[in-house]
Amino acid sequence: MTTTLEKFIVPAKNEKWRFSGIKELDLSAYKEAEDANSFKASVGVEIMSGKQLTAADRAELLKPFVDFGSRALEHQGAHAYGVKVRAPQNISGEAHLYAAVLDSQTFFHGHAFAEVHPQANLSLYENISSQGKGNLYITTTRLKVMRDGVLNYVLVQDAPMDAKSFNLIEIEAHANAQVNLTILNLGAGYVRQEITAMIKGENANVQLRSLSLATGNQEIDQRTLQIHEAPNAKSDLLFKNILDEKARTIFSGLIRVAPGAQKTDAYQKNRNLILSEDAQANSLPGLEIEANDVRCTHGATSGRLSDEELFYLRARGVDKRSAKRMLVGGYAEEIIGALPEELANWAREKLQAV
Amino acid sequence: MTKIEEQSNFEAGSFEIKPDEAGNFSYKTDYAFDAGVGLTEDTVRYISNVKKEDEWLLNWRLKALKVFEEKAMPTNWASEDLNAIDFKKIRYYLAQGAGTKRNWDDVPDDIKKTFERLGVPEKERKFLAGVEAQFDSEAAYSNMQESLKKQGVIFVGSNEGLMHHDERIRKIFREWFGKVIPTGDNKFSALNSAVFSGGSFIYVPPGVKVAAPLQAYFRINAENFGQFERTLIIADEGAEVTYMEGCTAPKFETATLHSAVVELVALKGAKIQYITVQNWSSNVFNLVTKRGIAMENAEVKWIDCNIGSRLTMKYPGVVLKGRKARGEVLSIALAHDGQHQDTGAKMIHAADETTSNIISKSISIGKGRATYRGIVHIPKGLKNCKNNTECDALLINTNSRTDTYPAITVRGDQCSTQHEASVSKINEEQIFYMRQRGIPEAEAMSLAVNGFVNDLVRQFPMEYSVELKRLIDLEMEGSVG
Repeated sequence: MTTTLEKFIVPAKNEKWRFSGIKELDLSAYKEAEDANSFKASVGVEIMSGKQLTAADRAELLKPFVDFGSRALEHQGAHAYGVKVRAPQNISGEAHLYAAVLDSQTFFHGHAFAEVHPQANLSLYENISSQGKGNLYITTTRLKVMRDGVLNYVLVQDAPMDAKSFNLIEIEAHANAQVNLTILNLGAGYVRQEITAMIKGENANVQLRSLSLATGNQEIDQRTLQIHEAPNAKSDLLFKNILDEKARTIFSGLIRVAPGAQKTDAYQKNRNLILSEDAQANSLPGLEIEANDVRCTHGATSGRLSDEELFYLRARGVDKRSAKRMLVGGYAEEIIGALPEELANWAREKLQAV
Repeated sequence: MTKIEEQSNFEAGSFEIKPDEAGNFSYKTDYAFDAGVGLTEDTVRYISNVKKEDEWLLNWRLKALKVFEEKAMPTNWASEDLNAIDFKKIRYYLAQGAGTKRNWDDVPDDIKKTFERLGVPEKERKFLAGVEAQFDSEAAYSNMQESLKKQGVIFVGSNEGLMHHDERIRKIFREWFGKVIPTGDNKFSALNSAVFSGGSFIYVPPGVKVAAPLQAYFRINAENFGQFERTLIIADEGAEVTYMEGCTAPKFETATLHSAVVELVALKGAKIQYITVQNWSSNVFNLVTKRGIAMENAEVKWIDCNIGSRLTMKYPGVVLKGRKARGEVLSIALAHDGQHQDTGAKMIHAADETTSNIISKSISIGKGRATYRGIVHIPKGLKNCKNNTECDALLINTNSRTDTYPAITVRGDQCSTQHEASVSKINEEQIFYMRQRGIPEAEAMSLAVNGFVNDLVRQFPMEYSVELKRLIDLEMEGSVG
C-alpha cells in the first residue's frame, strides 16, 4: 500500500492550499521513526496493533481520507504504525495513544482507527510530542461512532518548534451519536490539520473545538469540513487562535449541507486574537448549502485584546503583563475549560509560560 | 410596505416593465460596422481603426490581447460553466455608425421603441441629469443638462475621453485609464482591454456635487454579440457623484458575453456611488471587473443588484488608499433556475483608519445558485482599520443552493474584522400570518422576499427600488410549491 515519494510538492494555485506558506516537503531528509508509539486503554476497551490487526482492520486503516490536498502524504514510507481502538456495545472507558519520537530527523507515520459501538462511551486521547529534533509527523485518525455512541476525542499536539505535524482526522457520526472533538496545538513550527466530520445519521451531534497558540515563525493551517448527509443533525465548530510574534494561522472551514439534509443546524466560528504587529490571521469560513430548511451560520472575527478590559485590570493594580495573561487565559478558557481537569490544568500552565 | 406602494403609484408608468413582455422582445437592427465573428489581432486592429485611434492605444489593446490569450480560465476556483464560452463564436464589435446624438428627437425611431419597452421614457430625461443610453456598443443618445456642463462636469464615451481634441480632458482620463484595474488583473479585464468600446468616462471637478444621479442604460441586441464597455469615473477633491447603470437584454438562443471594466477614482474627500441593476437575459455570461480607489477621506460605495444572466461573476472592490477612506458594497442577488449569481466584494485596506462594510443578500429560487465570494485584506503596519461583513442567504425551494466563500487576512494587532453569514428559508409563521389575512401564497412569498431585502433596497434611489420590487415580484412568480 505504501509508496515512497522523494518530495511532496504543494500544487500551485490550488484552493486547498490557499494562503499556505509551505511549497514542498522533502521526505528523503527523514529516516523512519522506530519504537515511537505506545498506547493504553481502560478495561473493556480493546486496542489492537501490529499482528493483532486483521486484513479488514488494515484495509480500514488505509482507507483514503477525503481529499483536502495532503492525500499524497497518507501512504508514505515503508511502514506505518497502525492502531485500532474498539469500544464494544454498552462499554464505557478511555484510551490513550502516544506518538513520542525519541530520535531526531525522523518521520513518524501513524494510522489510528477508533470504533465506538452502539451505546458505548469512549474517551480517546491522542498525544503528539517528541524528545528529538526536527521530526515530521503524519497521522491519520478515523473515528467511527455508531448509533447512540458517545466519543470524546482530544488531540494534544505538543511537538517541539522544529517539528512539522500533518494530522488528518475523519469523523463518521451515525444516528444519535454524540461526538466532541478538541484539538490543542501548543507546538510544532508547521502544523497542517485536515478535519472532516461526516454526519450520516439523524440527530447526530458533533462538536468541534480547537485552540492553537501560534508564536515565533509558526504556521498553523487548519482546514475543516462539516458534511451533513442526514436530516435533523447538528454540528458546531469553534476554532480559536492566539497569535503572537511572526506567527501565521489559516483557518479554512466549510459546511456542506447535502440535498435532503433538512432541519440541519450547523454552526462554524473562527476567532483570532492577534497580540503582535507581525502576526497574520487568515480566515476562510465557507458554506455550501443545498437544502432550504436549515439553520446555518458562520462567523469569523480577528482583533486584539480589548483596551477596556486591559484598562479595567490595570486600574485595579494588575501590571500589564499579568493583565494580558489573564485576558489571554480567559480567551482560551472557552476551549480548555471543557477538558478533564488534569489536562485543563496542564494546558493552562503551558499558556501561562508564554 | 405602504410607502413603497405610494412611490410606485406616483411613478406609475415611468418604469413599468410588463411581466408578459419582459425579456421577450428584440428589434431588428442594421449595423454599419461589424468586426465579424472571433477574436484575432485583426479584430483588435479593425476596432482600433474604426475608432481612428492613436498608435499607443492600438498597441495597448494588442498587448492586452496577448495577456488574455496567455491567462487560463480561472476554473481552479470559479464555475466550470465558464468553459461553455466559445470565444470564436462571439462578435466583438458592432456599431450603428450614427454619431452621438444631442437631442432626443434625433434618436432613430426604432431605438426609441426599444428604450420605451425597457422603460426609459422621454419625459424621464427631464429629471435625469444626463442620459448616455448605450445601444449596443456606441452611445446612441447623449444629453447632459446645461447646468452640469457649466459646472465643468465631463461626461463622454470611452474613446471620446481618451482621444479628446482638448488636451486637458484627454490628460485627465489618460492619467487613470487602466490604473485602477490593470490589464492583467484577470482574464476578462484583459479581454475588455483588447476589445473595449462604449461606456462612459466622467470627470467631476473639485468641490462639485452632482445633485441628480447620472445614468446609462445598456442593452445587448445582436445574437452572439458581447458587450465590452469601459467606464472610468473620476471625482476630483471634494466632489460627489452618483452613477446608475441598469441593463436588460432580450432573449437569444445562443450564449452571449458581457465583460465590462469599471474604474472609479475618488480623490481626497470625494464621494462616488455606483449603482447597478443587472437584468441580462438568462443566456448571458456577465463577467465584470469593478474596482474603485479611495484617497484620503474619500468614499466609494457600490450598490449592486444582480437579477439576470446565466452566470454573473462580479466582485466590486475598493482599494482604500488614503487615511480615513471608506469603502462599501451593498449587494442583492437573485438566482433563478439555471442561473448562477457568483458575486461578492473585495476590500483592500492600504492606509490607517480605513473602514469597509460589506452587506450581501442573496435569494435562490428553484435550482438557482447564489454564491458570495469576498476578500478582506489588511496588511502589516496599519492602525485602526475596521471591516464588517454580513452575508445572508435565503433559500426558497428544497433544491435551491447557496455558497459563501470569504477570505479574510488580518496582519497586526491594531485592526479588527468581523464576518457573519447566515442561511435560512422563508419564515413559515410570516407566510401563515399573511395567508390568514387573505393574501394568496405567492403574494405572501413575494412580500416576505421583499422584506428580506428591504433594508438594502431602501438605500437605492427611489425609481430603482420600485423597479427592483417589481422585478422580484416577477421572479417570484411560479416559484411556489
